[in-house]
Order: sequence, then C-alpha cells, then structure tokens
Amino acid sequence: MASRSDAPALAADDVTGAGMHAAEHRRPLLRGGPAYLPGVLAVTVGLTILLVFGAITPGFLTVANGKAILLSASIVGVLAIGETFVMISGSLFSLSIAQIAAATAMIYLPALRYGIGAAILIALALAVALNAVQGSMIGWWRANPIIVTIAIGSLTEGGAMVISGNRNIYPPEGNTKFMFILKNVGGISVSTYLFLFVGLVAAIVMSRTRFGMQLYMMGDNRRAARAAGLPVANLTIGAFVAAGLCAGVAGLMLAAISGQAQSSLAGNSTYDAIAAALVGGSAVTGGRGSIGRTVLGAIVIAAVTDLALQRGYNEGAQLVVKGVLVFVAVLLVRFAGRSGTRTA
Amino acid sequence: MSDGLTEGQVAPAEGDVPLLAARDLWKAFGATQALRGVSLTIAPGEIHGLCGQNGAGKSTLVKILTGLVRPDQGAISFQGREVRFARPADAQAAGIAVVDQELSVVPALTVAENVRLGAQDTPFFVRKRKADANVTAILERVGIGDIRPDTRLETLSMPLRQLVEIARLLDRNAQLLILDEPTASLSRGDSLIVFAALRELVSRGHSVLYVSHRLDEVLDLCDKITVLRDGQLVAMHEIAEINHQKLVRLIVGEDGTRAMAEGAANAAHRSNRATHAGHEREIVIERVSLPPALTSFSYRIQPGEVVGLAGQVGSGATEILRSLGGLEPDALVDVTCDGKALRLRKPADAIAAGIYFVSNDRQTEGLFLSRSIETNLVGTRLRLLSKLGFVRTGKARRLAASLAERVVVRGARLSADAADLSGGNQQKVFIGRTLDASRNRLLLLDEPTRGVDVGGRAEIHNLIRNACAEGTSVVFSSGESDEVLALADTIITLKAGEVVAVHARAEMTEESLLAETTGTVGPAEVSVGV
Amino acid sequence: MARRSGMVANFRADTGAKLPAAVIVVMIIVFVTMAHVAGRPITWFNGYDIMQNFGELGWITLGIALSMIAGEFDLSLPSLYYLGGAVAVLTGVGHPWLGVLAAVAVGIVSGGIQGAVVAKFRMSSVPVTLGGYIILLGIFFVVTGDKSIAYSNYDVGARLDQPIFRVFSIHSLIIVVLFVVVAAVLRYTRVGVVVRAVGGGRRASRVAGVSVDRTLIGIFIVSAAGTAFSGALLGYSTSAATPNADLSPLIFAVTAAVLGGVRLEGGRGSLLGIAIGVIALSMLQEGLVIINISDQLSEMVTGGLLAIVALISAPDLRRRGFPGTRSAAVAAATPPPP
Repeated sequence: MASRSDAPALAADDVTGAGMHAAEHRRPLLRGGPAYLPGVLAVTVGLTILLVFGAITPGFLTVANGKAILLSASIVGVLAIGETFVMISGSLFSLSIAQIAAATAMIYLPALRYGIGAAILIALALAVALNAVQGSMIGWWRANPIIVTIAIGSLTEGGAMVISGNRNIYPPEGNTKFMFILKNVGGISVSTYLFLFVGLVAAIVMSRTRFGMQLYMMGDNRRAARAAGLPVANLTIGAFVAAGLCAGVAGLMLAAISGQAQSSLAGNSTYDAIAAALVGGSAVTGGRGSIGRTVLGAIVIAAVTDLALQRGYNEGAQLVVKGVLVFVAVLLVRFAGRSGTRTA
Repeated sequence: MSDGLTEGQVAPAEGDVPLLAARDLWKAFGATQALRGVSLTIAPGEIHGLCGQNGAGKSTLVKILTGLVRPDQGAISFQGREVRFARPADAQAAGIAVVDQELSVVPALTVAENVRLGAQDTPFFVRKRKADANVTAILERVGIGDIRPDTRLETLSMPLRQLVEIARLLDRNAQLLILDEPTASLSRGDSLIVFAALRELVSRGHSVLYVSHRLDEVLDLCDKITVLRDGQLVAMHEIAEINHQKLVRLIVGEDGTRAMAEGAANAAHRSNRATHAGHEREIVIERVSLPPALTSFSYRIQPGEVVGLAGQVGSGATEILRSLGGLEPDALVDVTCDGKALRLRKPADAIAAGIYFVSNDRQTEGLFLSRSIETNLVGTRLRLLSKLGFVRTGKARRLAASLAERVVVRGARLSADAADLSGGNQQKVFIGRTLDASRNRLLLLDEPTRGVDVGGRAEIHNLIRNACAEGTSVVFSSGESDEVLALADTIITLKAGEVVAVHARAEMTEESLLAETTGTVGPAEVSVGV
Repeated sequence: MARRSGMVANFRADTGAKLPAAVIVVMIIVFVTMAHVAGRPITWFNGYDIMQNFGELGWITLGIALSMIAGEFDLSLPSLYYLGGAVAVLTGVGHPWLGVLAAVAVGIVSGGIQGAVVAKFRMSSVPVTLGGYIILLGIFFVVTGDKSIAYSNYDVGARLDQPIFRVFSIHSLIIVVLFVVVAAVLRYTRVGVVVRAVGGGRRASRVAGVSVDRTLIGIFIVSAAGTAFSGALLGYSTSAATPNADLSPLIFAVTAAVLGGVRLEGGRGSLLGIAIGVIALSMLQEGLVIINISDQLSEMVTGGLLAIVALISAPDLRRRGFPGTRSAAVAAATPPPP
C-alpha cells in the first residue's frame, strides 16, 4: 500500500535545463570546512598572486596606486554587488546591468535641470523599473535569466541609442554640482566611500534582514522556499530591484566621472562585475555568496586589471587574465563548496 | 510451502555451488565501523531478503557487492570463483546488477533504446529489425514480451518502466539482481507486477537480493531473509521459520522493541479518549478536488484529531494534502474554519490560516541543505522574529535551540549545515520547523516517516502525538499500514481519487485496510465526520 | 499504423514540432507584408540573402541548440565565432584551407577543455562557459591587436559566395550539408541515441554505463569546431576580421533555436526544427533590411523577439497566467504538476 505521487522527484544528476542541474548531484570533493571556505580560498589565491606579481612590478605596491585601484574598483564593485544579489537569489546573473547603468547616466544628466535630488530620483527610478520588469519575468514565470537579461539589455541599449539619436548626452550648461563624486575627502575619492557605503548597506541587508535570509533560502532551494510559504516571485523581483539600484548608482558615478553619457558608457563592465562576484565565492547556482567577499573580489579584479595594465598588457590580455580568474574561482567554489547533499 | 519455494520455482539441488558467497566482510569509513564480519550466501534461483534499520549496514553491503566500495577484510565468491571488484564495471561484467528506487531509464527514448542503452556491442548504424527481435526476447524474460520495442518509454506506467530497466540489466547478462527499495514509489498492484516478473526471472535460474523496509513484501516474496543490525549479521532465516513480529524484533533489537510497544500503547490509549469538544473549532473541509487525480474529498476535522489517509499511488492522498496546503493552484478547495471560508491559493495563504504542509520529499521540497540547521528550523517564521525587517538573531537562536531540543535532534551544532544530518534528523527538522503551538491549526504530513529508520519513526510519532495533545489537528498519509494503525484516530481509505470509507481506528485491521484501498471492497458513500 | 521513418515523420509526431511550423508560416507572411509595405518586389536575391544568413549563423545556432538539447548552455560560442574568423584570416592568406583548419583546431581545443571541465567535474556549464567567453574574447582582441585585419585573398571570398541555383552558394551549401549529416547521425546511429539519452536522462545514462562524460565533451567539441569553422567562412566572405565582437550571434542563435522547437529545459529538439528556426529568423531580418530601418531599431526588434521567446519558453507562463488573474481555461486544462 503506497500513496506516493506518480512521478519521482527530480533525480540527482538530472539536468533542469540550460546548464543548470538539480542541486543534489554535486558532491563536494573536499569535505569539511566551513561554508565560506571556497570564497576565502578564492580571494586568498587572488591576493597572493597579486602580491607576488605586484612586488616585481615597480609602482604597483604603493599607496597612490592603492587608491587608484580602489577608485577603479568602485564602479565595477557597485555593479558586482548588484550581481551578487541576483546570484544569491538563484537567478544566475544579469547580463543587462551595464546597459542599464549607461541608460541611467543618460537620463540623469539632462534631468539635472530639475535639481540634483530630482535627477537622482528619476535616474534610479528608471534603473529600478527596468530591473523590476526583468525580475517579474524571471520571478513570476521563471523565464531563463540569461536570455531575459540579454534581451532587455539589448532593448535598453538600442532604445537608448535611438532616443539619443546616437549622440553623446551632456549635462545642462555649466552644471557641475553632480561632479561631487570626483572630490577627495581625506585623500580618498568620494566614489570609493560610496562604493564601500553601498557594500555596507547591502551586507547588512543580506545578513541581518528577513529579506536577505529569505533570498539565501530561495537561492538554495526555490521549490522548498515556495512550499514553505516564502513569496518567491516577490523575492526575485526584490533581488533584481536591489541590483537595479546598484546599476543606477553605478550609472550616477559614471556620469560624474565622464561628464557625459552614451549607451556604451559602461562598456564590458558586466563581465567584470560577474567576475568579481564569482571570485568572491558566490555560486552561480544560488544560495551561496557574501557581499563582503564580493567587495574583496571587485578589488582583486581591479587590482589585477591595474597590474596587467602596468605590465603592458593590452585590453585583450587583461580580458584573458580575468577570464582565467573566473575559471579558477568557479572551480574552487565547486571543489571546496558544499552546495548539495552529502550522499551516504 | 514446505520447502520455502513457490510454485514454478526450480529447487536448487543439494550441494550446489551458491551463486554468491560473501564471507566475513568488514568495512570501516573513517571512525565508523559499517560492517563487522558480515556473511551472506545466495543460491541460484533464490529470492533473498535483506532487512535492517538505516545505518545497519545494508547499503554498505550492497555497495561492496556492486563494486562501488572495497571491503577492508573478507572475501566474495561468485558463481564458484573468488572475485575482487575494483570498480562497478567489474561487478556488472561478472553478472551482478543493482536497481534502486530512482528509475534509471530515459523517458524520451523507446523501450528498445532503453534496453540497449550503454551496451558496448551495438553497431554504429542502428539496425532496427534485428535489434527489436533481441529486445523482445529479453522483455519476455520479465513477462512483458507483448510490449512493442519501439514504444516510447514515457507512455508506460512506473512498474513497467522499472521492468524495462531490469530488462536492460538482463541484456548485460546479470545473474544476481539486487533490488534496493524497488517498490518505494509503487502501489500494491504495481508491486505485484514487479513481483511476478521477479518470480519469472528466478524460475529461470537468476537470483534476487531484495533489500526493503517493507516487511510484508519481504515476507511475501523471499525464500530466505538476512537481518543486519549495527553492522553485524543478526540472523538468517528460512521463510518458514519467521513471521512479522519476530522479524521486527530482530531488526530493532530489545531497546527498540520497547519504544515501539510504548508508542502502540499510547495509540491505543488515545483512541479510547472521548471526542474533543467544540464544533465551532472544527475545520470543515467542504470539498477538495483536483481532477483528474482527485475527484472529491470532504471531512470535518476536530481539534486534536489525527486523521490517517490510507491509499495507494493514485489514491489522491498526496493531492488532498497538497491542495489543503495551498500548493496546488489549480485545485478547487473549499474549507471553512470558525465559520470563515479560507483562501488557500498558495502556501502563504495556508500558513496564514495555521495550516502547515510537510512534503514527502524533504530534499527537493523541504529543507535548505546548504543552510544551517538553525536557519532550517526558524527560517520560515522570520516575520515573528524580526522587527522592522531586521532579524533578532538572539531570539532566533534561542528558538532554534528549543525546537531542536523538542524534536530530539541532539549532538549537532545548530550552525552546521542541514546536509550533514541523517535522514531521520532531517525529517525531524523539517517537521519541527512547522511546530508552533500558538499558530498550528492543522498539520498536513505527507508520508512523515519516509526513508526514516524505526527509531526515528518512533520519535516522529511522538512528536505528532504531542502536537495533538496541544489541540492541533493532523492529517497524514502513509503507505505503511502499521503506521496508519499506530497513529490515527480516524482512518479514511482512498482509492483512485475517491473516498472509499471513513472509519474509527478501533474498527480497522490490516486486512480491512488493504481490502478497501485495493478495491476488493467497493467505495462506500462519502461520509462526513466520524 | 504504417511504419514511418525519417526526420519528417519524427517531426510530425513531435508536438514540439508545431512551433517551428507555425513560426515559418508567420514569418513568410511577415516577410511578404514587409516587402509589400516597402514597395519592393521579392527577388531571388532575397532568397540568396536569407540562405547566406543561414550559412553564417546556421552552425552557431546548431551548436547552441545541441548544447541546450544536452541540458547545457555554451556561452563561449559567440566569442569563438569571431576568434575563428580572426584566426582564419591571419593564417589562411596563402592557403585558405590552412586558415580553416587552424580555426577548427582552436574550436576543438576550446570545446574540449570546457566540455571536459563541465563533464568531469560535474559543473554547471554556465559559469564555466562564461569564463571561456571572456578568455576567448580576450584572445580575440589580442590576436586582432584591436585593428581590422584585411584578408587579401579576395578570390576565396568571391568563390564562396558565388550564387548557385540563384539562392545558394558554396558557403550556405556547406552548412546545409553539415546539417543533413548531423541529422542523419542523430537519427540513425548509436551516437544519436546516446546524445538524446544524455539530454533526456543524464543520471540514468550514467547508471546504464553510457560514457556521459565523453558524450558531453563530444557535443562541446562538435559545436565549438563548427562554430569556429563558420566564423572562418565568415571571415573569408567579408574578407576581413573586425575587432567588433558582440552578443548578436548568441541572440540570434537562442532565438532561432527556441523558435525551432528546442526547449531550454533540454532533451527535446529536432534538426529540421532548428533549420526552420534559422531560416524563419533570417527571413525576418531580411524583411527588416527591405523596409530599411536603422541598425539600432533592428537590434531592438531582435532583442524584443528574444524577450518574447524568453516568455514563450518560460515554464510557468501557462500555469500562472498574469498575476492577479486566473485563467479558468488554463486551470481546467493543465494537469496537476507532480
């Protein structure tokens, strides 16, 4: 006599599609150790390589260079924090974050004529709206996040180009107040403070609030989260909205730094941001990661880029280095991680 | 059945070489001694049962026999020759194959493609006609020769898919088939199909090692039974020498038997109690329906009442529980409580109404395995533990500790991952996270002791009884008649999506349960209330 | 029922085949309408253009589709595509075949390494191929040195693209032949059964002794090699390799694959459907060219179509409808999920 439902539960090792596997099948190859081990390992490895190569590169291990690295880490770092929200919540990552940051910048500058406060609000609202749309598609209907974000990113970029007539956008005549971001306080740029501030707020949200803890649970096992009554659709939208806020802030920072905006403003930052999150030990499959380690990951990525630049690597070579870093980080998370069941 | 053989079975002659003789196997995993000098002998043409609690060593033994694990000490001889398996492929080449509960078939392929899946000797270009003839011959060996080889597997029912998997193993010349909990997802009728196939196989000289928690099946099917406990061989009996009671005692040992006896006594005690007061507090299920799996169900539940849903696959029991729990948005659910109609469109609705659902699959639909035990215990009631969106960690930790104590999950740090817990402890955590006396109205437990050993099962039964004592109603479904009989005040038998009958516990016996759920007795009129 | 065999019967029996059939009909209508609106006649040249597009993006679509059918997702293919072109243009000046071989070799290495990592280490293909994408993109920029490289052997390009039977060319015919070969292999050989098994039941295949790892690596290698190969052909056709690598091949490939009936969840998809998806989408793009809209708008249209495709293939769309409403028809028709 049995009353089990007809279809077997998702078997271990079966694929749920588009590169994602049912959580059960991954057996960690290294047992033991706390859950944050892979992230710590990844960052440590990155830092060690940096220090070693940095030592033999003149001018790298200096305070001035350190500040420069922090500065260039700011934008990618804020974007990476946004990606971390998406990753932890189990929605892979967003490939639209750079385009949305650019679009934010493009609406921010003209809106400055209404005052800086209003301009910031309008700009962030745009970023949030665009991300809320993506979050809805992914949260409500479980559309594939990669495809949705590529599509919306493409639409945003195209739309921005069409609306701007493919020209650069400039702030209203003589308006330079928005460039406060470039100022230095105590020798460190305001944008660095902003980056760390965003990191702090995000870290508190993820570790201390109900929202954050629920994101972790949903990322670990969406089906269980739903069965337990967690509002999975809204949580997904929330994660994307958080990412949207980050994209918006990054756009504001970009606008300030460049003094003008166009649709390619954020360039290839998406990959840098994802790389930073992965190097920080976040798992693409969800349920694992930390804002703090993403911040470190962003700094490592920025440092690596800077180091490569100083050693004369061109853009292509930098990408190769970053790609290898991502590869290694992903392997580390897989090997030392504990996502999934311990089988008998 | 004087010589322990069923009709049609070939009797092994005296002095025959056993098919499998495993002698004195020892295996330790780190500090844990999984097997202590276990021996097992299986004759050709024999169905041999293997029983024991979780952790008794059954799965280790099976892994050694199938080449997944190498023993520290001991020897194995197969078909008269000493063998040593370095990897699973060796065991399979020798003729030992294993079938477990998770079907290893590919639904998108045809029967023939599944039977030939993984064979090394297929030609590069698929030659249909010749292949089909060979496949039919093998299908006949398990009694399903009438199925066309080009049938897509997804059109076949579960037991037939399992037989196709067995056919595949036969295609690889398996002589000894090890079946590990093969009927876990099957109804009684489906299981009978599998049993018939096994007897057919055995009559042709193959042997079966049948590993199962389902003692009634083991007693029904097997010629000999080996019992393991704590890694040791406790007994090996011919079928004629043993019965249900003795078998349970062997498996559980002296301490365990006492706990189960207590549990049963409690149950008897409770079913003598008067019905609980207050019709205002009852939960009136006017109607639950989820076509095509569940036609209609209705009942009135009293506070503190335990209702057991007894039925087979397709009976609708799981659908009833899931619908009441808000997991089936397409179901029609009409429930009133305290005179108010409840809205149960999604799980959050149910929880708001005090209805908590515990799924039968704790790993994919229950726990958050990479999160801590603490998170798993309190993660679903964060609203109560937080202020302005911020979680009060001290309060959360204390609540987690008290819950862990209550569900008897001891010896594990609350910050450890839930994945590290044993199956029984995981299930207790899963149930434990729903326990909240001030908010529990109704607990819906879908197979609450699935995959849990006898000791853990007793603890979970106690949990349920304690919850009832506090006024919570419980509706649970179970495939084990002894569990239904031990726990329930009221037993509702289901068949094919309809209620057969509603009984008080005192009226039911194992035989009457079986009769109603398998349709030997026609469905009675739907009765409401006891 | 009479015994039917072959791709066509498979196609008809498969309910997932209804989508590409519907799509191609819609696209033909759209195309004809666009031509009408623009006041331009439909000529053989349009057909040629469409088939050229098939030749250019057909294989990368097949590659992505194969990885999707196997339950994976190869993000590195778009950058490999461009890298293949650059490698071929650089090394194939004297001997065009050498360039093609070099490109294919790069593809084999890329697919082999990533496939091995995904298979042997049991990893999700998304982060691994993301890393691959970045690395290959970087190599592409290094190789092109950030400049356009001209390919001086114009002859090859001209011969490749010379119209045959008015709509075909050597370029597109090669890809058509490759499609047919792959379709035959999938349908009639042992390899085909294994590929479908790995996509439709990974664990079961492993248990049954199928060398899942080798199959996965094989799929990765074949799609990568073919992608690099088409990239090489593209480089020759345009007689240049420009340092402009973007995601548009990926957008095209995923859109065409899903329109062709490939499911994102894996396990399903037919080659004929994929081919139809490519042709249908090429038709749409040709129509956009005819009505002469700007590049950016064209990009938006394809982006929008991809968004629609994402919606179509969203598993919960039919079940949940729009938030706040409940489609009674859907509720009645949809069987309860397991």
